[in-house]
This record gives sequence, C-alpha cells and structure tokens, in this order.
Amino acid sequence: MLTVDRFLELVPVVMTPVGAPPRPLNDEQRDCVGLQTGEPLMIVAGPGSGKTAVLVLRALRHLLVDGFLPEEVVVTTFTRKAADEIRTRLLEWGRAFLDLLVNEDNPALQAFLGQVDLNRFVTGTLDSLSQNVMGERRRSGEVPPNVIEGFAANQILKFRGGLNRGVRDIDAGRVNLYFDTFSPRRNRYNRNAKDLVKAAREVIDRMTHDLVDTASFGAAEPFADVRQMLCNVREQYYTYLRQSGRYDFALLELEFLQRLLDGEMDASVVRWRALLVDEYQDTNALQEAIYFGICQRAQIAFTVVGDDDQSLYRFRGATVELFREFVARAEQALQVRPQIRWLHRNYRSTGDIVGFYNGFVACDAEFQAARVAGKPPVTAEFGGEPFPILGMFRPTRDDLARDLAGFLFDVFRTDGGYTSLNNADIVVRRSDTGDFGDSVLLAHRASETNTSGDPRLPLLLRRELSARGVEVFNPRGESIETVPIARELLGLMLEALDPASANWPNGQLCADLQRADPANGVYPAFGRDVAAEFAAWRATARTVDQTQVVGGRRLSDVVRGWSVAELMGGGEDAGGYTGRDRPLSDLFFQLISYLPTLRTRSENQVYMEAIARSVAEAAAYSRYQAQIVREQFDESRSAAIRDVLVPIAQGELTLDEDTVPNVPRSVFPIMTIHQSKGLEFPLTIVDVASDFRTNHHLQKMFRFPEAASNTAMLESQIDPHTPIRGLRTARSDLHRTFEDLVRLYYVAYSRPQRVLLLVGLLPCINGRTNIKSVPLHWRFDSSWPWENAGNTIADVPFEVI
Amino acid sequence: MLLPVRPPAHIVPSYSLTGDLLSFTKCRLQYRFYQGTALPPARPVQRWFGDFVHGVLENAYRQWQTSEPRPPFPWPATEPHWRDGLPDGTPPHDIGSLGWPVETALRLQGKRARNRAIRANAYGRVEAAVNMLGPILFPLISAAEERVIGTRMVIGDTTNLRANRYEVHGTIDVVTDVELAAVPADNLIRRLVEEQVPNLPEHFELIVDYKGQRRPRSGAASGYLRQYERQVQTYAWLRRQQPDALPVAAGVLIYINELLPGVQDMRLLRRHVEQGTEDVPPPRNSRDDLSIRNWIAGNDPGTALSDEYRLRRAIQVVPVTPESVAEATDWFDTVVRDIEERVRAEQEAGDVEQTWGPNCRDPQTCAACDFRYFCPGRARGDADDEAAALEEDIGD
Repeated sequence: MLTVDRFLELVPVVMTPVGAPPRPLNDEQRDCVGLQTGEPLMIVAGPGSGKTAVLVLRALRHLLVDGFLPEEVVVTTFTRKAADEIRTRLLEWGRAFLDLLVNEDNPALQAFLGQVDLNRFVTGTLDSLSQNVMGERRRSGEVPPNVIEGFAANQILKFRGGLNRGVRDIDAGRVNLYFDTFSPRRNRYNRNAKDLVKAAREVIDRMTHDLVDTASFGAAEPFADVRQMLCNVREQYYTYLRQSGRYDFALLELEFLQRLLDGEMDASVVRWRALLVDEYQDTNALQEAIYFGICQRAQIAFTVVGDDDQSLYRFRGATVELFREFVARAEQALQVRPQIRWLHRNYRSTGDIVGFYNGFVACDAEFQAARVAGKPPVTAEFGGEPFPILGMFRPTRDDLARDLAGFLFDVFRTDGGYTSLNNADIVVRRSDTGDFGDSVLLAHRASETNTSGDPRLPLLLRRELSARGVEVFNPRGESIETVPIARELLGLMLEALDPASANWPNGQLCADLQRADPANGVYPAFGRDVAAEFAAWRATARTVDQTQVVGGRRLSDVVRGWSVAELMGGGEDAGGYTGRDRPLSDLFFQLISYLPTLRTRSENQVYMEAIARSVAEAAAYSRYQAQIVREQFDESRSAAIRDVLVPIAQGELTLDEDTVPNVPRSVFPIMTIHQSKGLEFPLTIVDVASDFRTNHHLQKMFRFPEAASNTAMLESQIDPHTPIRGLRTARSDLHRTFEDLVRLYYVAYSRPQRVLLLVGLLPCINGRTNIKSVPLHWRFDSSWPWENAGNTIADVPFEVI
Repeated sequence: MLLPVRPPAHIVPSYSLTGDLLSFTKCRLQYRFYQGTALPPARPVQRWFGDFVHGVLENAYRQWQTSEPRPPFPWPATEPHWRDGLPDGTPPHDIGSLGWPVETALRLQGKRARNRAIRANAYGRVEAAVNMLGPILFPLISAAEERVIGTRMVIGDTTNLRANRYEVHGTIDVVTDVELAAVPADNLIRRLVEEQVPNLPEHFELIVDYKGQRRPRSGAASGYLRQYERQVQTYAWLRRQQPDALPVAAGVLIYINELLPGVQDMRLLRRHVEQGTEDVPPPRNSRDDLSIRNWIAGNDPGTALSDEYRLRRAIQVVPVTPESVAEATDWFDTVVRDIEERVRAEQEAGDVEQTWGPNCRDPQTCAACDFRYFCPGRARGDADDEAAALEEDIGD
C-alpha cells in the first residue's frame, strides 16, 4: 500500500483539473487526511474550509493507505445532493489516483488495485443506507423496504394509525390543550386538521428520533390520556407500515437500528472497515445509536465531520449537543477517546465577508457556551480585492423591493453593472456569461404573504422583477393550494368529480361529505375552511377556457366525462383498457393538457409533481385506491375528494424542489436559509429585517426570541423519557431557541463568495431602535454592538446603498 | 466587484440502465416527465406483472436455496383469495405463499392486477416459471438480484456538461455460475447456450434477465428485441467490472409469457407461423406445429404446446463477445451524451417540451403514455391484436 506521505504527495495532482496549477492541502487538511485510524476522529469544519474534500480524501486514504476495498468504506451525509457531490469526487479523484498509480513499482499495491472497483464505495444518506442494507438482508418472504414521504405518511397516520379516531375519542379540545403545552395556539379555536396532524407528527417522530421510552412517556402527567393515545397511534401506524413493507424515514432508521442490534445486518455491516459521517451536527439520538452500533459490531475507522455553528435542523429532531459532546459520548460508547481536529481556513469568501460572520458569531458571550469548546475563528484565504458588506434599508417594503429589483437588474442586465449613488467606488457587475442564477435572496421564510395576507418582500420583489421581464423561482412562496395555476387544476379536478349545479352550488358529494351525525358515528370529512378553499378552487377553474380543444377533445367534455358513470370505461383515451374503473391520476394527466404553463414553467413543475404524487400515493391508504369505480361511482368519487383533495385544501402537501433538475440561469432564485445549506453564491442577499417595521411581539420569534420555541419546549417535555436526558436541557429552552437563530443567520452570512447584501426596513437600523434582531447582531442580554458602529461592523467595512 | 459565474453543479450523473437509458430511447418527453419531474405514472398496473414475476421468482429461489431438504418440483400452487390470502398451513414453497407477500406489497404501492382473470393468469405464469425453470435454472444460480454499477466517460467535448463521466447501474435478475462438467448434458439452458455460443470456456457465467412479456419478434417496429440485447450486453460489461466476476459467455432473456401462453399469444403465434415470419417456429408437422396451425379460440392455450417448445420460445440466448459488448456500451454512451446535452440545453433555454421533444414511434407505448393527451408527436397505429394485448406486453 502507499505510505501516508506518498498519498499526500499525490493529492494535489489528483485534485487539480488538467492544466491548472496544483492545489496543495493546508496543514490542517493534511493532518485530517493523514491521521492514523486507531481512534475515532472528529473534524470541526468551518464554512468553506474544504470539509467535503477532506472527507473524500480520507475515504480514499482508507483505500490506498489502509488497504480497505471501496465496498468496505461507508460515507453518509444529510441530503441526496450532498451525497451526489461526495460520490462524484470519490469517483473522479479515485480514478485519477488509480491512473497515477498504474506504473507505481509496488507489486502488493498493484495486486490490491486489481480488486478495486471505485463504484462500490458505499455512499448516501443514512436513510438510503438503511433502506439498501435492509433490502439486502431482508427476512424470508419480506419485500424490500419502500419509503413513503410526508403527504402519504400523514394520511396513513390519520386514517390507518387511528389518529382521527383517537382525537375524537378523547375530545379534540383536550388534545388541543395537550398540544398547547409545547405549541401554544394564537387563538381560542381548536387546531384545524392540518395543524393537528402536524402536532401529532411532531410528537410521534420525536419519540422515535429521541428513542423515547414510550411506557414512561405515555404514563406521565399531565395529559397522560393524550400521551397514551399518541403512543397507541404510533404503535398502530408503525404496525400498519411494517406489515406492508413501507417505512417513513423515522421508522426506517428505527427498524434498521433494531435489526442492527439484533445482528440481522451483520452480514453487511461486519465487512465495513471505515465509516465517515458528514454533517454530524444535525444527527439525532437514533442516528447516533446507529453509528455507535455499527462501530460496536465492526472493527471500523470512524470519522465524523460537522460544524455546530451550522446546525439547522433541531425542529426535525437534530441535536447539535450530540456533536458538541461527541468526544465524551463516543469515548463512553466505544471505550476509546476520539481525536479532534479543526478546519478553519476559508476558501470561499472575501476577507470582509469572513470577518463579518466571525464577528457575528463571536459578538455574544452567551453563545460561546453553546459552541464546541476551543473552536478557532475562521480565517480567510481567498486573496481577492476587499469589498465592504452592503446594506440596503428602506422606509417601506415597496421601496425596498423596487430598489432591490433595480439593483439586480443593473447588475445582471446592464453593461456597466450597478454603481452606488452614495459611493462611486461601490460597483457590482456580472461576468460576461453571468446571469441571475449567480445570485440569491435568502430569508428566514420564503412565503410571499404574511398571515394577514399582505405581500412580503419575496412577492413584491417578484412583481418588480416580473415588470422587468425577469422570472423568479420561489416555489415555497405560497401554499400550493392557493397558487392560481394549482387552483385551476385542483378546481377542474373537483368540478370533474363533483360538479357544481343549481341545486348543489358546492357539489352534491361535497355537501354529503360535510354532513355530521355524531350520534350515528358520522363525522364531517371537512369543515368551513376546506369548503371555502374548495369554493375558491371552483371559482378559479371557471376562469379557464372550457371550450379549448386538445387532442380533439374539448375541456368541458373531459370534465363532464368524470361525473357521469355511463361515460366511464374503455376507449382509446383509457389507454386501450376496457375496464370500468379509472385512476384519478388519469384525470390529472388529462387536465394538465389544458394547462400548458403548468408543464413548462420551473415553479409550476414543482406544484405539478406535488399534486401528481399526492394523487398517486393515495393508492396506499384510500379505500378505492384513488380509482373511480363505475360500480361504486359516488362512493369512489367521494373517497377521492375526501382522501386526496381535502388534505390538499388543508395545506398538507409538501414540495420537493429537486423535481426541477435545472432551474434556468436567467431565473432569480429565492430560498429559505435552510435550503441554502451547503450552497454558495457569488452574490448573496440576506433579508434581515424586511418584515420588522415595529417592535411587534408576534414577530419576536423570528428576530429576537423572548419565549422558547415549540421545538425547545417539546424537547424539555420529552427529556425525562429519553436516553439523552439532560444533554439538551443543560441550556435553557430560551437559550436553545436564541442560539438556533444565531446559527441560522451564520449559515446565511457564510454563503456569499464575493458580495453580501443585507436588506431590510430602515427602522431596524435606526440608532435608537427598539426592534431587537439577532441577525443584526443583537445579543442575548439585549445589547447591540451596531448602535454606534458607523461605517464598520465587527471591524468590517459596511456600506449602505 | 466582478461576480464570478456560479458553475453548474458538478455531478457525475447516475443512470439506471432500464429506468433511464432504455426509457429515454423509448421517448424523450416521457423520460423527462417521469424521470425528471418525477411524475408517477397513472397506471402502474403496467408495471404490475413485471414486478410480480420478478418478486415471485426471487422468493422462489430464496426458498429453494434455504430449504433443507429442498422440496421437489413441481411445487404446489394455491391461488390466494384476493382479500383473505391463503389458508393456514399452506406450505412456504407453495406458489401462493411466494406470491401473496409480493402481491400485497405491490397493491399497497398502487400496483395491482387489472382484473381477476389477469391475476389468475399471472399466478399461472409464475407457477409455470417456477416449475419449468426452477429445476434447470436454480441449481446454476450464484447470485440473484445482483446490483451492478460502473463508470464510463461521457463522449465528446464535455466542457459545458455536468461532468465528463457518468455512472450506469442496474440489477441483474440472476447471475449463474456454470461449470460445464457439473451441469447435466440434458439441461436445456446448457444445450441452448452451447447451440449459440461456440467454444464455451469450461467455467463461465450467464446473465439472466426475466421479461414479463411475450417474446418480441426480431425486426419488430418497436425494436425492443435489439434494446434487450443491448441491455444484457451492458450488464455483461458491468459484471466484468466486478472483481469476483467470471467470463460472461452469454445473456439469457426469459420471456415468461411463453411458458403459459394466452389467447392473444396463440393467435399471434398462429399468424406468424402461417406467414413464415416466426423467429422460433416449431419443427414442420410436429405436434406443436399442428397445434398452432389448428388452434382456434376456445381451445385452452395453456396446454396446446409442449414443455420443450414453450421453454425454447421463452429462452433467448444472446452470445456475449467483446465486440457485442463494445457495440452496446458505445450505443448507450451516445444515449447519455444526448441526455446530457438536453440537460444543459434546458438549463439555458428553460423550455421543457422544446428541449425534450417527443420521438416515440411505437403506437403501443404512446397508447399507454400519460402524456398522450397533449403530446404533439403521438404515434398512432391500428388497434390491432398487439395493441389490444397491451397489458401482456408491457414489462421490464
């Protein structure tokens, strides 16, 4: 095999594209790659410090120095995209190594390389790893595990897990009161169906992620009856899923852990010799147990990489404290003390940007106790020209949107770029082939309207850019059921299944579904909120030209064809089938023929996929499997409305933006900060204060929390019943809430490569403002270092444009 | 400040040989919507039979492999009740015990038989498959559901593409490990391979792929046969990348429908035999020949033909040579290049339907396509026997 020194000598050649000067590793990176494999290794890696490169090189080191075959090396990360990136580098750099070594005079090495197939590196998310290994090692007669996602999983929870019935049996008011213990309502009304399932889902997933002792949790007061009901629903839901070979993500990992500990996975796991985990800061207790369980069953070199300051997913069960305390926890579980190393040299951003976020994360002494002890500040290695942090603050959102659109248009659509009126030295311009895709607007929330329905910055900016001929990509901007083009489709579907008539202006089947007769066990399938949404859909659908003809058929005929039993059945449009039932999906595909922009615009494709998926997945839980059956015509149409359209109207659809593989570069992207994790942009605009005109108490949770978040409260409620008890609650609920907000904006501020532009409303940066805001560096003790900052913030030049 | 250009994500794309590359060659637009936008097909029933066959045959092999002693063929067959499943005490090697968990899982994924007759037919076909293939195939198997993966270069200038390499992966239904000396000379698979592949090495592998359909005729307009041959050739290339692989002598395509032909199958077979266009004709004036020529609707198609002839029709041997592998992999390279260029073009132009314009010329594929309502390139054909037998033809 190669020596570590020889391996490191070859690294710059391997990593460098042909024709470019070699890029040597820095000392810390060399150390992380070269360190012996005897003890677990924890790498704390700041933003832009080359952590993925180090992780990949360490995996290749296991191959070429330690002599592990690719199939013995497992690399996991947090998202499919990140997994693709890691795999790409493993294949490319691995191939480059093999090409370089082909003439190496080392017979043992050559013999080993003859067995190497780089494609057999095991890479993916922990979910995909669990799914693959469980499929490989499945029990006799078992089918490979099938993963279901949010929408379908929630419907199964309601209908098959017995959540709806459980809530009714106890009394919805009491269940609401229990959920109030960690998720207070803003009004006196009971939660709607969407919020109810959301709250139940939060508790049920948390039980799994935190490996909760359900007997203890279910018996605990107050609300032991509700807790027990949730435990029972979870049990029933999991039983139903297991019996059908389906798993949601939490159950998949739980099942994998149980089978791992039972030794059922040994045939796969014991052959592994290296486990490298990326993004470890977002690990939960269940995942930690899996990783430690693998290490305990296999003699394995264990490396974790992460950055506590970039932990974003507490609301999904991530526990940054597991990363912060990794050394002690791994030592206790594995009986060997891990080594810790730091990567702090940043190659992504200008020195001013690095200085800015260093200052941000260091400005509050309270926050330092929440970080990994001994962490060095990030240092900037990018040697480009200095450029100040920019700020654009305006009196109103309209002003802000107008000027921001003007700025973007100048940068990307005028030859000279943008020049500040205040300072002619401030010029921002694109490269020759630059376009809007080189920039991004990041915001805590990307929604386009606030709870009162007033437009937020993303919507105003969309309008301003649209007026200039520029398209925006922000599929999370609106709830899908309220997007006009989606409403057209959903309204046409509803009209097809249950047409409005003079006698039944909201449809006869819908009227029946709303009927309530509790004495006879009949409960309404939906309430006034859904009825109002349905009415809006129908109204929007009526704006679609019903006379248009596609493929020889008029839209009005297609719609009518689904509401008359005699028109059902075979024919050419049924794909050659002669059966008497038709899938609801067929209606979907017929209708999108009449809505061409739904198929072609980037954002609309996301909506289209979400609706199509919800229709298809209904086969898993709906009585008629989302088929319209001629013999049970009314019943099957009612089931389709109740099981598919009602949940969509309740806002339960989830989006998967990966369904648009290629957003055109001429489109301006707007993202939540969460979505931007792992990405970098030449120009990053961060919305720090466009919502905050006054010190409104309802906005405090988004800028300066003075009360604990729902997640933190639930963590504390669960704490006595989990094996990680005391770990999170060592810091108060409010501290954890506050610190999560710091981490969120730390991620936002570390995305830009060249230009960081903060945008917001003027009152927030007024020297005497009382609008406290974490993204503007307010500290936990309510002090504010910007108060007298002038043109520098955290010793970094700051220029208002 | 001059903003650098944000490069496109540098990703080595990963293509499934069947799910991506063969799909793309069937129709670009359909591929883009199903694989790119991830629209789920309205009638996964089209995939039901193929998935059912694969699942049952895999279960059967696992059962055969792990049973001690091994239950002798033929294995019993109990068709499960559609709702209640099987009676207690049904033996684990009963075809019903092998099929019911597969059927249940598929149903919960929205995939189900179109009607009772098709379901019964499917159980009949997997019974025939297990009992006719099991004795001659199972003893040769070294791996089932073998996942194979390899990396190839994207051909041509890749400056503006996502990467200069691509991954291609697939799952081989069965890999056999054949030592000629250890296989009885009357094993039909051995005989058919020996007929097709001269100078067999003493120790070699076969790549077996089950097809839940009838045997396509050579020269059929859809060109499926050619695609399937390229598929097994590429599996052979992928298998060769694996360190533990033996030389691959041939691919073996097994068309399950031929083991228990249906009415449509017999009707087509009679027509092709009468026209002299049948690829695997029965010996002139043999019992099978007479059965086919005299077959009329109403006869039981399941008993019309001999086991030997049905197996010969079901099994197609595709010899694997370095040249044939190179031809197939080169062809897939051009397919990937085409896809990658379109990915890039869509990112530049943003127009899906222009960039991925439909190119399907097969009326059967178009008739079953969810995008047929608006597709400007929809191919239309006469509603002849083959189109009417759509369900029996579609598989994987």
